[in-house]
Formats: sequence, structure tokens, C-alpha cells
Amino acid sequence: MLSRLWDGLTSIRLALLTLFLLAVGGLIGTLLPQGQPWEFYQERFGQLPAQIYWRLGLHDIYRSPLFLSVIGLLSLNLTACSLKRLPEVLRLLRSRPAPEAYKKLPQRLQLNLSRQDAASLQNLESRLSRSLGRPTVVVGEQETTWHLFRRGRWGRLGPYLIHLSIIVIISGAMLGNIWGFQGQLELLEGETGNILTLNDPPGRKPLDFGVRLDRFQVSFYPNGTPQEFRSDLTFIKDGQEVRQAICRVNDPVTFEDITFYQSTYQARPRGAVTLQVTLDDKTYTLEAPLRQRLNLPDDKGMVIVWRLESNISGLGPAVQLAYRPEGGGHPLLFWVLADSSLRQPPQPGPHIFRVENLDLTYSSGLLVKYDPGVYVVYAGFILLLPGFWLAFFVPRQRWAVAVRPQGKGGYSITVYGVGDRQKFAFQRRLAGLQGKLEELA
Amino acid sequence: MSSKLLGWVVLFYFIGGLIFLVAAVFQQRQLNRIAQGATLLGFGVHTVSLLWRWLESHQMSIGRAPLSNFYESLVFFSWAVICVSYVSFWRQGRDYIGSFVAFLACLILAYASFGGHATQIMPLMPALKSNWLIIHVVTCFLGYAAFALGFGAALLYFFLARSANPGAKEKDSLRRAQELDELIYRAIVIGFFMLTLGILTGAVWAESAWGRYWSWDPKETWSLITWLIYALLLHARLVRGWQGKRIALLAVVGFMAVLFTYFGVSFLLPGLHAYLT
Ligand code: HEM
Repeated sequence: MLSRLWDGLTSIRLALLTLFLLAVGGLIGTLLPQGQPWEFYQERFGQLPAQIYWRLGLHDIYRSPLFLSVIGLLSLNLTACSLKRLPEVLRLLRSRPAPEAYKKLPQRLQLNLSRQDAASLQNLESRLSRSLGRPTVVVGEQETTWHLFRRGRWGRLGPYLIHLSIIVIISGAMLGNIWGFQGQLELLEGETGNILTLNDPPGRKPLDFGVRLDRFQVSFYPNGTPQEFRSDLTFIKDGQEVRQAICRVNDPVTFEDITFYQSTYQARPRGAVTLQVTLDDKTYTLEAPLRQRLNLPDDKGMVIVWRLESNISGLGPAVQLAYRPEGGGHPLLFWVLADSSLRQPPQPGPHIFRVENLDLTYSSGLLVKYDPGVYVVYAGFILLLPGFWLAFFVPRQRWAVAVRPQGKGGYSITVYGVGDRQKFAFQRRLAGLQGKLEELA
Repeated sequence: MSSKLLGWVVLFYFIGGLIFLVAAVFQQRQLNRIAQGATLLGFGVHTVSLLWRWLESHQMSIGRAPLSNFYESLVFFSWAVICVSYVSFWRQGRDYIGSFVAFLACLILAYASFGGHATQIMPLMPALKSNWLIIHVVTCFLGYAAFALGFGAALLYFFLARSANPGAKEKDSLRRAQELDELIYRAIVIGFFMLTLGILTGAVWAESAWGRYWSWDPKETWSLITWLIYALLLHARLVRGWQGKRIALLAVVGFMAVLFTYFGVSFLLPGLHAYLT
């Protein structure tokens, strides 16, 4: 019973199956919408299928017990499989090559040396080892000298290194999932914050230090898309300013194992926006705070400063207004450029708006993360590289060169060899050997 | 303009493909060299055009590798197809597969040039400004190209296995089939290695740009699916000893996954990588 289980766990069939199941999991995860509320599935698929999806966790498949247990099974399979085969491989690596096995290799080259040439035999060995490495030399029957070579045998360890690194990567991911967290922090210039908004599960988390946003800067391409943005941060611990750092996109900052990523920003007015409103011949000024409804003078409609952009199509900052004229129905949305010397987009009227004063500031959105598993994952990545190298790019070959004394002081030299899948490496080596041997004659 | 040169490249690849085909059908081995010459000439011009576009972007003070929209990725993909085939089998100069490769590169490039895609050099959004982007895209596309080569060899395998008529030619087609089987394997090893590097560098980049090395975004997930299929293929071949038709079939399935990762995800599924469209 137990041995049946072990056989199952160490079988390559199970490996093929789990690889296949993981692929199917990914397929479901990308084709079936993920992370939607229950009603969504109910509406889209009907009661019964929706219930099945929900029960199986397919609506959030990458965290469903089903998917995680396939990953678990793969890890078990990998570990078991490697444990089972590794001792055999290690034994093979340490063992001395036995001539009996080499004699059965296919014969590749044959050369006869006459007595006159026999002198050049003396440097045969050094010639061979220059191209094949250090031989094991054995003297066999009929005074035949065997030079046995094993090339690239360490390549055998490649698959095990690959498997090990996959296990390391999975462990690192687990570590991060168990002990890590991720949240957001939104700061206005000058503001200090230390409470994160977590999204998964939703909640709040205080940090044991504070972060102050000293300055936020954003630069734009001529067409108005952001080119670069950065936050100048100061970390404050126990009332002391401990460290200053610049956080950019693609260039996060780590403080006490917690990493800050520049993720978003938002333009905000510092105080109110000053608007100039013209109706017929009369002009007023209006102090309009963000998202506050203001009645226009004489009750002739209302306006709200709805949104701000720091740069619209390369034309600089702009304010989006929601405006309803007297007796109008739904409010109308339109943009007003802050730079009033520019040609303005059309306005519905009858009121015409201009921006008289806009003091822009920014809030910076930081993604804050703690993940103790990242370095483990990276270690796995690095381990993978020599693993690949050994498994796929180190040709494994075995060669034997037999030197047999013939009558009249001559010798015959026979080369035997096999290579693995890399036929061309083998062919090249064979051609090289042929050249070397022919020089002897 | 760098993209003007590409018309010539399309032409050279087409001529190369045609001569390879003639060499294959009429068994004129000496023509292979001419076909190789034409294709390599195209490849040279192609390389110059890639470098030129890079230079142009610097002159426009945008300064970035030509790898970050759909058009540029197609142009690079086409380049990678030739590059990978050169590395993996050119020395033997096979006729049918050479023809497949040259025509494929020609087709991709023609689609890129005449398919109505935006070809201007656009500035990059901040998250894409990273050296990891270059390594990530280059490794992924070299991987895709190697898989395309494996796919071509698999198609030819089916084609040849069917036309294995009895008689004097049987031995010949058996040898062919063996060579193709070998080529499928070799292409897929290169592809698997490159895709692995692509996924790893992508993860490192995502970690530094978005704070997550893996977020199950559809493109990531599909590249993982692709990777799993090829891992499956390699184990089936190396450990269970599958060969021939079954491996060729898996190579076709794997390449379907590659195509979906490249095109399907960009056009059909939302996610981080949607900027490619
Ligand atoms: C997640 C994915 C996996 C990857 C990327 C992977 C990768 C590889 C690679 C590249 C090789 C090298 C083949 C060779 O050169 O001979 C290999 C061999 C092998 N793999 Fe995996 N593998 C995975 C999962 C598994 C699992 C789950 C098993 C469990 C049974 C397994 C069992 C083996 C065996 C038995 C070998 C042959 C080892 C030898 O030749 O000594 N693999 N694997």
C-alpha cells in the first residue's frame, strides 16, 4: 500500500498530469472572469453553473484549494521524484568507469600504426586529454591499454537543480503569501502618513514609522502623457527624521524591509479654484473648492469643479466643470484650460467660465509591500540558470581509446564513443579526434 | 526612415524562401547556398533597420529600444525567427525548413508593414522605462521564434511522414523524419530556455515596477501555460521516450499556446500587457 503510494508519487505520469492540470487551471483563470461578486456569475451563467463555479472556487481560482493542492501535489511529486533518483545519479558520478561497459560502445575510428610511427604513441595520451579531459587508464587483456573518458557527466545533476529551484520558488511564494502584506498609502505634499489601506483582505494597518511626502514632481512628454513621476519621502521613526529617499516608478524604496513603490498620482487644488464667470456683460469671480456645489449669482444655475488634470494633451493644467444653467436638466461636463491665453474648448453657455487662479498640488499614491519571500524566489531564479546549463547545454559523451600491440612492433588504435542527444557536438568532437590521430601516423 | 528599409527585407526573405523551396522540390542542393545568401542579406538589412530605429528614437530624444508596441514587436519577432534558425540549424542548410523560416519571417514582416499598425515612435509610459523591458522582450521573442521553428519542423514532420511512399525513397524520408524530430527537440530546448529567461526577467521587472513578481495577469498566465506545455513535452520525450508524431503534435499545441499568448491575450483579454495593442 505504502509502496504503491510512493510509486505513484515518484512517477513521471503524475508529473505530466499535474503540469497539465496547472495549465488547465490557468486556462480557466483567464477565460472565466475572476474575482466578481456572486451575482455576476448568477446572472451570466445561471443558478446551477454559478453555484458549481462558486463551490469549486473557480471565481478566484489562483487561491482556490483545488488549484493550490495541484501546486502542492507538483511540489510533492518533484521532491519525491528527485529523492528517489538522486542517490543513483550520485553513485554513478562517483564510480570509476569500467572498461567492460566501454567495450560495448560503437566503434568510431580505427587506425593502424607501423613500427616507425610507434614512437609518436608517447604523446598520444597528452593529445587525447587535451581534447577529452583526464582519462582513466586501464590495461586489459592482450596488453591493450584503454583510455576511458566521461565528458559532461555533471550535466546529470542539471534536472535536479532545476527541480530544486522550482521547489525553492514555490516555497518563496508561500512565504510571501503567509507573512507578507500589501497596501496603499496616499499622501498630499507635506503630509505624514503611517496607516496603510489593505485591499486583500480589506482593512487598515498601521506601520511603526511614518512617511512624509516632501515633494512630488511629474514631468510630461510634449503630447501630455506622463514621462516620469517621483516622490521625495522622509521616513520618521520615534519623532526622528531617519532617512530621506526618492521613490520613482521602476525604482522603489525600501525602509525596514518594507518597500514603497510609486504607483499613481492625482492633481489636487491647494485650497479653492478661482473661477471667472461671465454672463452677458457682467463678470464675477468665484472661489470653488473641489467637488462642492456652488450656486451661480442670482440663482441662475450651478457649477461644480469636478476634476483636475495637471496636463491635458500637452496644454497644461485644466479643470473639468459640471455645469447646469438655469432650468437646465442634467449637468453638462466640459474642460476649461487653466492657461486662459490658449484657445478654449467650446462651452455650452450662457455662462462662460475662465480659470483665474489655480494653485495645483499633487497627492502621491504609494504601494506599500512587505514580502519576506522575494529573495527566496530570486534565489530560485538564480539556481535555475546553472540547472538549465547543465541539463541542456553540457553534452554528455563517453569515449574509449584502445591501443593494442600488433605483431612486428606496430599498434592498432581504436576509438569507441557515444554521445547523448547533442549529435553535432559529438560529430565535431569525433572530427577533431580523427585529425589528432591522423597526425600520429 | 528605418521602416522604408523593411520593404527590401520582405523582398529578400521572399526570394530566399522561394529559392529554398525550389531547392527542396527539385532536389538542387547547390541552390541552398543562394537561398541562404538572399535570406542573410535580408537579415543584415533587417538588423540595420532595427538599429536605425533605435538611433531615430534617440534623435527624437525619446531614446528607447524599438520593442514596445505591436508593430515593433512584430518586426523584432520576424528578426528573431531568422536569428534563432541561424543558430539552431543553419549549418546544415535544410531546404524545406529553410523555406518555411524565410517565408514565415517574410509574412510576419509584411503583416507588420502593411497591416495598418501604428508605426510612429511613441514615448514610453514610466513603468515601461526599464532595462528589464529590453531583456524581457528580447528573451520572450527569441523563445517564441524558436517555438515557431519547432512548429514548422513539426508541420514538415507530418507532411513527410504522410508522403513516406514505399520504394527507394523510403529510407530517405525516414532519415528526413529523424532529422526533423531532432530539429523539433533542439528548437524547443532553445525556446524553453529563452521563455524561462523571459518569464524570470519579466517577474523581476514586475517586482520593481509594480511591486509584484507575479500577479496572474492573463499574459503572465498564458506564458506559464505555454511553459507548462513545453515542460510536459520535454519530460514526455526525455523521460518517457516519446518521439515522432506525438512530440510533433505537442509542438503544434505548444505553438498554439504561444500564438494565444502573443496575439490572443493582447486582443481578447484585458490586463497589464494591454499596451501592446
Ligand atoms: C514544473 C516543472 C518542471 C520542470 C520545469 C522540469 C524540468 C526538467 C528538465 C529541464 C529536465 C531535464 C531533462 C533532461 O535533460 O534529461 C527534467 C528531467 C526530469 N524531470 Fe522534470 N521538471 C518539472 C517537473 C517535474 C516533476 C513534477 C517531476 C516528477 C516526477 C519531474 C521528473 C523528472 C525526471 C524524472 C527527470 C529526468 C531526470 C534524469 O534524467 O535524471 N519533473 N525536468
